[in-house]
Amino acid sequence: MNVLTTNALTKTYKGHDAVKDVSMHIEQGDIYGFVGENGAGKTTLIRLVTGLAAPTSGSYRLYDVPNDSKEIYAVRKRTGAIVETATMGRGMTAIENLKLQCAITGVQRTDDELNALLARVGLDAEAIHKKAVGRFSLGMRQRLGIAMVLVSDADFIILDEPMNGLDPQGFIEVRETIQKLNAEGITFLISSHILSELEKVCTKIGVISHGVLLEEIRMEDLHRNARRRILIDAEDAQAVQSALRADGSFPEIGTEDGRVAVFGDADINRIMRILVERGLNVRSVNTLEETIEDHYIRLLGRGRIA
Amino acid sequence: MLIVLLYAGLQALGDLGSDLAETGLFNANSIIGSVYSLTNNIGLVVPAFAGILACSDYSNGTLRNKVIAGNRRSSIYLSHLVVSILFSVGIITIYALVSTGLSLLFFPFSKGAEQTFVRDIVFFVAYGTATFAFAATLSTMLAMVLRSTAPTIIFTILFTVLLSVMTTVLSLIDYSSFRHVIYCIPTFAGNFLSIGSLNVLDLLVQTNAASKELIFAEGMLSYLFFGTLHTVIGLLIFQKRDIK
Repeated sequence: MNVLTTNALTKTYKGHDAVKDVSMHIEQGDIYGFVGENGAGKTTLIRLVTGLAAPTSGSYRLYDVPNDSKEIYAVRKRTGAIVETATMGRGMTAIENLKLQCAITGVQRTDDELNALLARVGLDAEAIHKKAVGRFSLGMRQRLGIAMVLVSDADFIILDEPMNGLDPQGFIEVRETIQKLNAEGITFLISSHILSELEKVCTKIGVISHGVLLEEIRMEDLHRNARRRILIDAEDAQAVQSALRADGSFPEIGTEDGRVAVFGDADINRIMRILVERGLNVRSVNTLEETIEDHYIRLLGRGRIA
Repeated sequence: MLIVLLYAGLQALGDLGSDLAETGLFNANSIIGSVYSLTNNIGLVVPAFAGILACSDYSNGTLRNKVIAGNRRSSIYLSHLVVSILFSVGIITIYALVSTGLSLLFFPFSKGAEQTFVRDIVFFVAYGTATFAFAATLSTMLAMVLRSTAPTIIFTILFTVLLSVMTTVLSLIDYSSFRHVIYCIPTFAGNFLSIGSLNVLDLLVQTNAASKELIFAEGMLSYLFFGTLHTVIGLLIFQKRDIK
């Protein structure tokens, strides 16, 4: 089932296309990573699909309901979002914030249900009972933000840069919360530029740059099609390159961070044999799979891989 | 309240007791009439309240949460308006109860005035409520459009003062010709100046029954028209406005 599909969605501000012809697809159960540099259009797209801004052209469907339908308000209640920063009363406790969110969303929850909700996102209700949210760590506040969008039983959660400002422990806490909730059937759209973290949780990514969606790819496809490369750290990188080129078995040879990079399904034993035969000193040889970050960099044509 | 107490103090100091009450200079009706003419000034509390309410919802992200949670923008707008109007009604009710209660406590009715007293009170409360509700529609519209407290309050007050000036200018040009136009201009029950002939509430107290009803009806229609206009304009703009 499609949770969110956009069709040529465009938002123009004063003649500038913040988002241009974006067509993305999020299915139920996905953790969709929305990747792009600052100002790429991630937040603008999130603001469009959450109803905070109106599209200049194009359309979207939320749970197969068109954005211009009157039914959109009903399905929006199944959606929760934290756009930019979670909105919460810093002087209030977690429970008080959840009660306020209940009032905003028009749902009724008992204290027990709210405590269970806090436990669901890994916040110990008893430990934080009297603690003002202002004294929470950023990771705890992010998880409280997720709890707040869950008060209305949202099964599609949109998180805009949830990893921003988190320390390593915060990364782990938020990541585990997302994975736990996803296992319970909740679909996620997560925008971020912290690619290494997205790689650990996402099932699909969409790469956006300058308002244009460059690619949508499932993580299994990305890994299947990932370019493998062998990195050789040698005393004389130039000589290593020359030796491998002279052999003629390796169609794509380059450099990466001062090391020699051999792309594709190259035979590592053959490489080692050539280097030994030529008497070239080698410090290390590593085989690497393409990461989401490598893929992103290659897609944007900003190769640090020469 | 202070005005009533001031009159009461004057009465006590000046030995103005029952003799003056008999002449009708100091009685519940005249005191209440004076107190009610100050409605103009306390009406300014309303735009401040409506501005702070709506704009704080913008700045603290509550409005954003409401939209994301699937609330219709029209519902959000109208709920702000209703709260502002309820606040206005609350203010005017408290004002009416306190000023009337104190006036009756310190001053007797003038002879035969009891019959008109209740009617004047009803006119006052209805007019005051409509006046404040009008201010609420204006400031809610400005708050939802401007998204900032200070400009909302400033523009509401400026707009109201402008209308008051219009009222004053028109009446100075030719009061009798523009009389009906003047009472259709939705200012805070007349103007900010202490000119009895321009103050609707004073007029309501002073004029005969037939004129009272005409002035009252004109004023109410004017408030209704402009209040509706503000709400429609505010809703149309708010429906299309991007929310930060």
